[in-house]
Amino acid sequence: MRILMLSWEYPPRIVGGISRHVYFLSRALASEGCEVHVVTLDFPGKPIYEVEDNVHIHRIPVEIGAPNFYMWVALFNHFFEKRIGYIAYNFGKPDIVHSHDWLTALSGISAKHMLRVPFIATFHSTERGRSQGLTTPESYMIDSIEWWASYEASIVLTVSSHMRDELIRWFKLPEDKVYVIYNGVDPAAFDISVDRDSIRGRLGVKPWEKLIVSVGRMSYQKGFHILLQAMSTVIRRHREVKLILVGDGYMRRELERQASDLGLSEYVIFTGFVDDDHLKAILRSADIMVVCSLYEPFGIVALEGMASGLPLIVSATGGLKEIVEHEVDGLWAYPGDPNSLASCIERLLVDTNLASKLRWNAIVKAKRFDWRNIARKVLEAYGEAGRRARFQ
Amino acid sequence: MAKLGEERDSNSIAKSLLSSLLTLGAVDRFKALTVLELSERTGMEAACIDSSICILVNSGYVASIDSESGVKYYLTPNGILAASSLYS
Repeated sequence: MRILMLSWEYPPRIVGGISRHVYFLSRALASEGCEVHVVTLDFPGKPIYEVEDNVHIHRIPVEIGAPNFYMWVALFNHFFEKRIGYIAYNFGKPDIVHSHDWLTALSGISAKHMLRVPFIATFHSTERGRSQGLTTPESYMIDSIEWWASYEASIVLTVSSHMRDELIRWFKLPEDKVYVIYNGVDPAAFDISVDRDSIRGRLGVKPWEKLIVSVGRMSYQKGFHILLQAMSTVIRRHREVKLILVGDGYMRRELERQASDLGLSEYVIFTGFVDDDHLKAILRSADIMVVCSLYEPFGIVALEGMASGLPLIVSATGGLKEIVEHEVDGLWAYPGDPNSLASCIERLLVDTNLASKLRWNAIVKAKRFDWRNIARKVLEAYGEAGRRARFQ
Repeated sequence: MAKLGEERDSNSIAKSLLSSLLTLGAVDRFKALTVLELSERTGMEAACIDSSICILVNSGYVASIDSESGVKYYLTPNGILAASSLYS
């Protein structure tokens, strides 16, 4: 089976969870014998075309400048379409076109009709969820593109039951059209030995201090501002604690200022973007992970924390509630509530038996989210999409 | 308060600039743009760009090169990711 996978982000272009999802899914599909072509945006230092682990990666430059982001998206979809034509001519017509989120939906729909191949759309989130409602003209446009993709797709995939319910309700989709296929993790990749003291030393964390880690794009949706508020409560009673925030984004300067205003400068470390190896080393050197998103369709970082053997605190929202079972393999905090978050953190700082129980249960659970199983489910969805495809 | 307000303005201009560098394609040294070119393409005042671009350079999101037409600016790999995160 020849698969055309469309995604605006692909490593090393890692903006959110889509990049990792497409990376691991493509490899798992290739190892099932599929010919996978990923069409994505270019990135400095990477070639326009390469084959990695049997996955064909086409990194497309956007040759024309655009005055705003939305025009830019339309333009890069045009350049994706051009490359899709090249792939169909040089490698053969694909058997399925699979787009991820609204950003690549337009080129996916074009490919469906031009090549007359089934189209599948994965929704990693929706505009209504990301923006907490539709409040700007741009939001309405994105929402319409998302609806259009869900209409044109033979099968819609999404990453949690919470998201499935959202899609069925908002886009009025038939229930049997929407499949839940969770994100995955490679537990072996996180089961690594690291020189914990050395890594903590480089970060400025003393051996006896408890290290809390939170990872993600620094946007409002990820709730880092709530975590900083919680930390100001935690450090009143627990001075030997450090928080490391891994990631970058448009809110970073505001968060740095908030940490300073709360008197947390010596307790909070901002790393900026780190590569995967460095991230794994940090996770293995930490004591607690917090995922405090206000909106989270899935939360792939929570799985990575579980695979790293970290006791986990998550906001009880979206997919996080489906991955983590409260008091069994993690703790739930009320979303957007710094007091609830602080209380969970303090519980894990004090109750080492609870932390240990959550840690071991999380390691076991992470093994269920294997990419090979996920790839097989996606292949079943491709087969069903082929049976249902219509080209009016 | 005036200082805080000014800082917010310059942050918001810096965000617009970050986004514009991405969508205008200034993502490597060969596609770098001068302040004047950025001003023409974005409609932002050159003086505003001049002051805000320093924030982006200091954050490691933007790099500069000297050229015959003056200093040119482009997004670093971290800048590309930060600009993309504005919309994700």
